[in-house]
Amino acid sequence: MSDEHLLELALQGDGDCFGQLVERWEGKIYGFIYRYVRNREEARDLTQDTFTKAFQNLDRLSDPARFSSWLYTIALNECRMRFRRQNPAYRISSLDESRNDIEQLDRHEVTPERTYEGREKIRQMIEAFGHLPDEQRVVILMKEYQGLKFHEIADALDIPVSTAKSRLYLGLRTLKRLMEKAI
Amino acid sequence: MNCQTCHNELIDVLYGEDIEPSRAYLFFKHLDECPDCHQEYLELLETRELLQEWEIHEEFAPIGSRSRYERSYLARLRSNWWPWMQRIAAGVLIMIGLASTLQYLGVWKNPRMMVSQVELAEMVNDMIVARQEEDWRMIGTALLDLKEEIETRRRIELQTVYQDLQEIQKRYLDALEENNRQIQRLVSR
Repeated sequence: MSDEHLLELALQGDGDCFGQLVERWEGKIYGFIYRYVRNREEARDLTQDTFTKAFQNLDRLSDPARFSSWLYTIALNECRMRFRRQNPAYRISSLDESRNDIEQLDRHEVTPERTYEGREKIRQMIEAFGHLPDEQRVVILMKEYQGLKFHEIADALDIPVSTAKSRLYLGLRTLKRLMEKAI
Repeated sequence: MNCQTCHNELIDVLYGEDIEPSRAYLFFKHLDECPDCHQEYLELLETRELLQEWEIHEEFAPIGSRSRYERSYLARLRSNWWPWMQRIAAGVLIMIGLASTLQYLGVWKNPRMMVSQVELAEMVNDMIVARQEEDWRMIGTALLDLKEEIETRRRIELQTVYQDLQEIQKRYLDALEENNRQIQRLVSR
């Protein structure tokens, strides 16, 4: 069943259909939020908040085809609101969480191909990623990890497609530069 | 194609989106002629590959996530019929309590409670549906991976084709030059 169809049924009051939509999207939304906030607990909370808010505002979604973009918009707003409310120091401490990914990498991905140097590079990349300007970070997340099309990113962020592309380009370049600096 | 156009199309080529083969050909042709653009392309490609290495090693299992939004949903529905539901539930509980007491005292002898065939069929059906959904999800993931792999291969093949074309063009120019030399020799005789 398509998202649109589930959405229509959910709007008619079918809670199970909304549940199915949540099951379909929660992994992706969590992945997006986690890479943005880089704190597991925080990401779980924000994922819950995103779906709760989505449910509360379901009737405001005029075009069901925009569901995914709309969901990412809500997720991003939730993340930004949380950051605004919190102490700025929090963000720096949360960056340390990225080390978990590297530790996991060490435990699960100990393959001959993934050398120490390779892991070190990923670590540098994750750290550098945290220092990217917010707007570039978001576009990279949406494109690289969520696989959204450029027009979907533009729709979710309410910007022209050309702006989405230029932010992505700048983001990749900045990331490369930051990593070089770290070396 | 100049550096500015190449720069504008870099992202399209890098992600294989919104790009026609003819433009891709011109793009790679320019890369071959311009070391700066070529270098930039390689750097961004490398950054992309590195980004893909960042995996989250965790199954998503937000504790209480479902119950939270479900609570929110139920709160709406409850507004009308919840008080009645509470009374009915209380009534059912009293009936069960009464039946248990009567059974215990031996007044009412019908102790076995069984799941009906219809309920059983529904349960089995639910299990099958859940299993099918899981299968579809796995197929979806596999298809996405396949798509990514095909796109990567396509990019590599495009580069290979372009290199082959370059080689052919070079051979053609060499042959042309050799021909011209032969003709000049014949003319001079």
